Amino acid sequence: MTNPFLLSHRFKQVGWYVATASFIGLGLQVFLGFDILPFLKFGKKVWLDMTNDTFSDEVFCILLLVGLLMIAFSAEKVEDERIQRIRLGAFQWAVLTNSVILLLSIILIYDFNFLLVMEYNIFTTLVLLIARFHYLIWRDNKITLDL
Amino acid sequence: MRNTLRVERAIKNVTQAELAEKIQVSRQTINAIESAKYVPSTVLALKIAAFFEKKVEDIFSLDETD
Repeated sequence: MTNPFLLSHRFKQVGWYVATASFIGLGLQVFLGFDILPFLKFGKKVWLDMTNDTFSDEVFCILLLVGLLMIAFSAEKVEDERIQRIRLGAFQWAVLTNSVILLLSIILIYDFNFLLVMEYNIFTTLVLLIARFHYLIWRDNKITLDL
Repeated sequence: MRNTLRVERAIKNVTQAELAEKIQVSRQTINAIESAKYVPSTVLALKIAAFFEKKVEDIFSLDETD
């Protein structure tokens, strides 16, 4: 049985590289204020009165999302029906956990901080999915080796 | 669901890895089926039965919890 939503296995490694690089880039840009991609700067302040004068954080965000998608949606080396079931389980767990975190955030976090929650929330479902899926595979392999 | 996969494998003298390669699944999947942690799909059960040249019912059977 083939899964039409999966990329081939080699995209997983590419995804890790892209996600790691853009995560580091985003961190340096947003939290430490470095200007990584100066050629993406433009002069005017646009869109309401937010000081949006460079496209580089948008580029890093897109690359991070694409990288995470590549990791989450690429096949394992030996892709079989058991792996697909584990992946489906991880999807359900990730969506549920993400929703619980979001519900708690709605209750506990307000104002500008909630905007940050929504920003992080762009990536949390995928991060939770990847973490859960690889944990389950790791646990499975460990049990198999112990037998 | 119960199965006699481990016994069948011993009779035919094939390892988990060899069987896994023949029916295009991972070795962990064979292991999970043998230790009753994973119930294979009909397609996979038929492939396993075909490999051992037996009927599916000769290898897999229902247990009380099914």
